[in-house]
Amino acid sequence: MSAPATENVYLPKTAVLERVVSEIAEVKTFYWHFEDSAEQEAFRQFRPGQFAQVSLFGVGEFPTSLPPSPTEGETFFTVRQVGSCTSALHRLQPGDKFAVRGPYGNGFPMEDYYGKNLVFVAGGIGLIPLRSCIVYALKNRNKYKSIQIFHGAKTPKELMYVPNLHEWEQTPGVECYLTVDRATDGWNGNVGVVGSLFKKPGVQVPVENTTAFVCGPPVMFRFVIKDLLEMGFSEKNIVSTLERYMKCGVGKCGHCCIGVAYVCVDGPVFTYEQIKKLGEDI
Amino acid sequence: MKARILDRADVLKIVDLLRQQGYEVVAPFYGRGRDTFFDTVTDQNRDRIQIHLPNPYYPPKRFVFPHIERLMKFERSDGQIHIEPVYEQPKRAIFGIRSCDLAGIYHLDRFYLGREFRDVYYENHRKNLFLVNVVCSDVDRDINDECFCVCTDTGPAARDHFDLQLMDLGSEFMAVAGTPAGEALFADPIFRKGEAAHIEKRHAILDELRKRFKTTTSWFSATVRYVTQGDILEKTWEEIGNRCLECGGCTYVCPACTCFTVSDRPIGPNEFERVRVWDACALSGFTRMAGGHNPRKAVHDRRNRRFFRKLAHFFIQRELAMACVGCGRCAAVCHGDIGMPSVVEMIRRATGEVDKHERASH
Amino acid sequence: MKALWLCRYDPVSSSLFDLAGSLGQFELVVVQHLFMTDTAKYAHVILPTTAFGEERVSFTSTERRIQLAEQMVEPSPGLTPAWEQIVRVAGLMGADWDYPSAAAVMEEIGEVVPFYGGASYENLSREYGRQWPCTKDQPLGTRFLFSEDNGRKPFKFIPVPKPAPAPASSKDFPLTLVCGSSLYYWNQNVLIRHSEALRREYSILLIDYPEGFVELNPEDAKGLGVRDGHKVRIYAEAASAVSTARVTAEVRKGTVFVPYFEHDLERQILGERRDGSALVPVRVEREKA
Repeated sequence: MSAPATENVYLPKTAVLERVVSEIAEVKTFYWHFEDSAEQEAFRQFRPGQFAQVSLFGVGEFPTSLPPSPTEGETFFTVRQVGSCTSALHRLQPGDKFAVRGPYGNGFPMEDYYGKNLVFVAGGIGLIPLRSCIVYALKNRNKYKSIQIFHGAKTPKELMYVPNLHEWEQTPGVECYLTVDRATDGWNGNVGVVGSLFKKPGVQVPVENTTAFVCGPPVMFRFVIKDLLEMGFSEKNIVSTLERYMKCGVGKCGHCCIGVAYVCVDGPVFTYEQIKKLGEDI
Repeated sequence: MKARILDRADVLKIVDLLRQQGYEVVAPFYGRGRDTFFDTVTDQNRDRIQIHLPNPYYPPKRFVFPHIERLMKFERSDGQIHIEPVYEQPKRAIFGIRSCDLAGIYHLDRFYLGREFRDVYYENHRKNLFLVNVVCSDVDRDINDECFCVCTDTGPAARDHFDLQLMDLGSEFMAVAGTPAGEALFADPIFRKGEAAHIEKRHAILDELRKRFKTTTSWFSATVRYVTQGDILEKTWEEIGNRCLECGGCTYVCPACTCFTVSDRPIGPNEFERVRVWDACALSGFTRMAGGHNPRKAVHDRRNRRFFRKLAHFFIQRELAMACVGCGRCAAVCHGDIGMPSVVEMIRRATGEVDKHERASH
Repeated sequence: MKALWLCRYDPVSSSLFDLAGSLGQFELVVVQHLFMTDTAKYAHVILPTTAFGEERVSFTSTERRIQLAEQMVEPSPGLTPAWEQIVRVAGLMGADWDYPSAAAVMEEIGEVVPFYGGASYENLSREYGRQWPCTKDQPLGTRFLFSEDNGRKPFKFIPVPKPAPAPASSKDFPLTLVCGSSLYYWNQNVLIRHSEALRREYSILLIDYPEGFVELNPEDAKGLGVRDGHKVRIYAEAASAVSTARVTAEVRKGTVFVPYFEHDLERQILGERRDGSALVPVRVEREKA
């Protein structure tokens, strides 16, 4: 049958797994590229905060954020092994084929933040979607004022993207603060929740002319929001990206619809002001 | 819009005309008891087509949005994965679609074809679809106890979105063309020009019909406002949620529900097909994420969701159509009696109670 | 007994006891079913049958309603109705069974079972079937089994002043354990496993509670210091068993609910009683890890 004129938005394209890097327990980064170089080129125009749908042969499809910045040459996902699809991805070997479609979602409007201070607050694997913005901001360093990164994990072993963290800690003009809930393995840094870093001596979080990016598990999210609001942040200057069960990524299947928004097309990036209005559990 | 008159005895000739033009025609038939269903017309069953009958519970929505639909095939050989989309582009006519279901299809059009992404599968079913609407004019057979299209402004006589509309005037039928394709049928000699008396008769029948509805959810528009503004008490949603048995029946019979889930299933040793299947927001797995977090764990949150999605002004405006078309099917199938009319009534009562409390406190 | 013939019956999945072992004692086990059930795995011969809608057959519900299901779709090639398979095997074994259709089988049933005397396919194909007794004299069936119209004394309903106290009211066993069906587990779940949405709902329960669960009311749970997901031990008079607590208001206060698929727990607690309908007085304690 002849191909229809309307593009089939559900049709994934074949991709090849290049290599796999272990991040923390059950979390790995998968470097891949499309078989078709034109597809690869088109896909690489994504914005920080967007996501993709990944198909595993015979298992199904799942949405996942895009941790790379479009300014980087490579395409990769960082995925926690949690369900049947993600487990199937974890079983793949370099050279194996799977399929990808996207990018989807609104992404962070990084241009809107030009001239502003950026504060990134990431709990655990919440750093995955924020990594894209951080790398993008560092690449466009002169467009932004101060840049602060706060990252917390349960234990030192669970800090994400450790090579990146080291790099950011060394980068002039960037403040990178780390914390863990439980100090193990000779950790001599901060111990406590991410919010505890805001009050540390020497840490000065700018409130005026600042956008705060917050990503992490629901409990962490609620506490950090509370902290930021108390510090004087306005709700519209706090942005986050929501995670929802979704099947299509293009606003049709209905699973991710909360309040008046379909997370996949109206999000996943929302300001806290919007999230509050959506009126649902994070 | 052009209108023509035809004899009662010629009505089914429209089905024949469409079949001659190569359409697969589906039409309503009687099953047992109250059961009715849409089925493909054949030479054998053609004379059993019903003009007046209770609207089938299984909505004709499935002809544009099938209950289970193949999307694509995945084949693996020699380490390669070959992905082949599966397209079906039927040339189909629905004869005897009710005005409410017509509004349902219009809503689906807006939803699947109207936003950022067009749904190619829906489009394939829709683009060659010819719709023959029959006005519900038989009070005993067409209009059921649960029907409330007069409240959703979708019936009993649709004003648009059909190719051809038929209305029973007694010994004659009035045919109204809604599209050039519908008008083209008027070239057949079974159609003749009408007179002013025909139009008067149509109006008289419709005026009388509107009084014959048993379910009149007069609080409907107010409910739209209350739901939109979030003014409905948590307690009311809880009451509604307590009565929900989580069967999903309301969704499966709804002509305007759009949600689906996607599943991959084996069809051969190295072959899988990806299908989409109707899904229901009443089920807790609808929103549960891998890892266990479910933002909508409580039943009443999920009920709240259904009625918000159907009634909130934001969506009505975006889709230019409400996701409730007044067919009353949800009211007919719900074991907990929380179909749309009952929910509107529960909201009305709860609002009355709030007023009383307010008065008492002053 | 040397051979066992099971028609659309899957006792291995539903029984509390080790039926797999018992099945092994037969020289021949024949299973007729739509799906590869747990029981079918132990069969020497599996006869795949047609499904609902692929055959014209009657069935009787617990409401006494005898209904006729019409064939609406063609069965997959090679599949035959269960009754036809039995007739053919009987023929091969030398019996002279001559039934041209399921309707003929029904006719014979009507001759042997007076209540079904009037339940011919022709009669059943009207309305929503007929409720037995459906005799030749009363072909429309019987709507109410116990009514003055048909000479049987109707039931008398007597109001009860107070609900009967649950058997569990002793201090040692203050809760009542009830076994029952779960929303997404019906019979042996043979069908639910083949329905996308329902299978998802069922498997989610298993993902959230991989080792199964018992349901506790939030108030009871609070009193016991038990939270959702905690390990609990259930003590009955003669036995105890461990499970995971699913704290939900869906279960009444004072009640511990065990879904039927919790075979192990049922087996341990109910022991030789073997009766899933029994109410068992129990005590629940949090099981320290």
